[in-house]
Amino acid sequence: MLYEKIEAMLESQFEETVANRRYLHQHPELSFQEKNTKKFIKDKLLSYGYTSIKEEVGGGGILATLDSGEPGPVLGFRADFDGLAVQEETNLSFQSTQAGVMHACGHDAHTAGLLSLAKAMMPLRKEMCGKIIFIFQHAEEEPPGGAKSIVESGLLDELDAVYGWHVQGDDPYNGKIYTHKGYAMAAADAFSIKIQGKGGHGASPHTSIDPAVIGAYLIQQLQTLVSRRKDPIDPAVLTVATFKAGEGAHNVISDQATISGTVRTLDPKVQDMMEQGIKDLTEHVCKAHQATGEVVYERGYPSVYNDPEETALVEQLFKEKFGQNMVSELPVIMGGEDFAYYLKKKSGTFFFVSGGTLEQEELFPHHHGKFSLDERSMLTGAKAFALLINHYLVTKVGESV
Amino acid sequence: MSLAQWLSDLAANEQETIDDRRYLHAHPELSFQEKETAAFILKKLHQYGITDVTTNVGNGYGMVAKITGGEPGPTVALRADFDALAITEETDVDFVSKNIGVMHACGHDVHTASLLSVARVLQKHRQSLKGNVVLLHQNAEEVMPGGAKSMVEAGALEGVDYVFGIHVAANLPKGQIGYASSYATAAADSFQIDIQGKGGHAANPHQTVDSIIIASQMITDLQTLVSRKVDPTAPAVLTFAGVEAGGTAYNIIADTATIRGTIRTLDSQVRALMKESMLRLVPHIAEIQGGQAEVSYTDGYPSVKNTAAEVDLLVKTMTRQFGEENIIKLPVMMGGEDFAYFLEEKPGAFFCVGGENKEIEATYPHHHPKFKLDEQCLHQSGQAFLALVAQYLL
Repeated sequence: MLYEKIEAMLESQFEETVANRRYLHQHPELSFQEKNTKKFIKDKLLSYGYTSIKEEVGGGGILATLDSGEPGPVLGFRADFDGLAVQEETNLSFQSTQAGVMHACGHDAHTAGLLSLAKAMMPLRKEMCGKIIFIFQHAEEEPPGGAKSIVESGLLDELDAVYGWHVQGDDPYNGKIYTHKGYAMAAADAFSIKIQGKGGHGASPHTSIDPAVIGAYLIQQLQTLVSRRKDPIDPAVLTVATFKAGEGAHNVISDQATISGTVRTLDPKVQDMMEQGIKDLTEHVCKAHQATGEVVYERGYPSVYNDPEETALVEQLFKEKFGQNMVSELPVIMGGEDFAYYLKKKSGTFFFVSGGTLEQEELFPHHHGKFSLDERSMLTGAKAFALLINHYLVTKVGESV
Repeated sequence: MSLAQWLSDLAANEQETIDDRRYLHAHPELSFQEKETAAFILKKLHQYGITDVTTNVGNGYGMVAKITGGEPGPTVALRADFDALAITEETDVDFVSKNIGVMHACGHDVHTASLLSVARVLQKHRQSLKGNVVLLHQNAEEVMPGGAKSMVEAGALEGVDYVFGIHVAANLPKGQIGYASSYATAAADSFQIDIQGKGGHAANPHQTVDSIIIASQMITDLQTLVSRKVDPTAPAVLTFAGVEAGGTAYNIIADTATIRGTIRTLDSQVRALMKESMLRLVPHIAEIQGGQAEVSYTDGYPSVKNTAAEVDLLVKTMTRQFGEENIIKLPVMMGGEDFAYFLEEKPGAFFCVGGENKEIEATYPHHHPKFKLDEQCLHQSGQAFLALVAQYLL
């Protein structure tokens, strides 16, 4: 079976995969500034024999195509490669040599894992049909992100499906993957509201229009968008993160107040409702108190929507190969991922691979200076992709299942 | 001896009074640091033959002098404050402050020089007084805790029957006397509320205690103190002047929040009610949401409350002296004045003497670097005090 051959290659390459990951870990680069990372990826792909390599796709992505030469489906697999502005405190032997920058989210593992799959597939390309496009993506961490522009380049239009995985650092590595059908990760929007009142002496409220009080009432009223206006089945979060009025004096009614925060939704219809609701409430609550209010609403990445059938397929394939209890349900995550943009255009799924480590006696969250991961997750993720290759790109050509 | 004689003497000394005022204006000292100013006042009192002087009364350089009359009778106290402010003067007067960064920007130099001019006249004519006069030269009016309360506690009003004070006003035209029929100023208290929640990621509110929600709940709930808990006929103001909640990130639920503000009341019971309610309700509101809150409450000066009979007498006396058209009834002023402490002990009144004059640019507000007064108010203050004393002691 093709799968067994891929798996054998992946396992024999594991040391090299770890070395690649550790190299990337030592040399992290910030979103939109991944110059040397891109060079590393390209050089590796060339060394594996890839010739169909497109660079600076969508402003920074690398696409490597493996063409079997036979007609068949086209699958896409994505790994992101940007680091974060975090100071590493793991004291690992291969810790970041770049002050203030760290691979604190596992993107180094995603990339090394995908490179390993790319290397494994090159000699096996005659045993498959169709094509594989390996998507190495820049700037996942920082809006507008790399995915949107890679999709807009049109170079992925020929895909039939697209897949991605993310290391999950919350529990120690157990060989499992975590999947979720439908909306799996939230759209993350940012808003800011400016309330214009009329300042004055703290003892003469009747000569002023007090934006601090108006802001307080508005914050209260915004709660009803979640508590009363949306369908209780649909998850949504509206967090007011900052509220400021005045400049330090005790006895001055301030002229302006500002409120800012974030909205997390899964369903785009709920997202639309929240945006419109914030704008309507701001306009009318302010007006009711004789003030004016302005909302700036910035949409972040859309919500990640995993095609239920593709997700079910991944679950089934993984369970068949590794055991019925090796796939678990991923609870909905209210954080964002720009993999969402691929899934808006193409069917596919984004899943998580168990990868926490107890090397440091304590599990640190993603984006933390002591975040660390179990490198076996790279193998598991690559194997999950390999199962999909075996399923889609072998049925017509090669040995029967 | 008559009031007319007194007023004539006052006028004869006018130039020296102006010189005194200008000297004080050129040598301002900050609250609680008025050493030279106090020495100047003492020198003047001695110069006029006033020897019954107690210095360093209360918490600073305040002093109390007594002029004993020829015959027994009531004792009337007159007050003038003598501290200056941390302001860099920007006026064009010849006698501009020589003390860079300090300025008599509220008229306390005028109060002091005019009280000295009054003391001089009364000392000269003391034999004709049927009663006594006490001079309250008060330190540190501008800066809490002020000098008045400590002077009262040190016994400055012992034996006093009535107490009067003047404030010159740059927003009242020269020649006019302003008075409030009851409350002249509001009590001005301030507070800070520190809220402790439990911060976290903006996407996981259920794992947090949101300080901004607590803060906004406090601000909205406490509106009902004024709208529902206070007698509708008793003025009260609760202002939330500053809110600081959250940092710069839009995706973090705030761990803490701070609210600052002020409470203004006239009636002392309403004042106490507002304070007690804040202290009691604020921690509860936070607890409802699972957080904590602490209130730091700073009592300001109480409200100045003129007593009815003395206001009547004041109005009649001033009307007779200056004419009905020059006596203006004022609304309550919102600044604080520690003259309030004197009126908590004894009946009396606090009133304004106008010093505004557009022609000499004496139009700037108090505490402004260009604050200026028409010196007519210096003379008129002296006249007003003498007219009042005449009412009681002649």
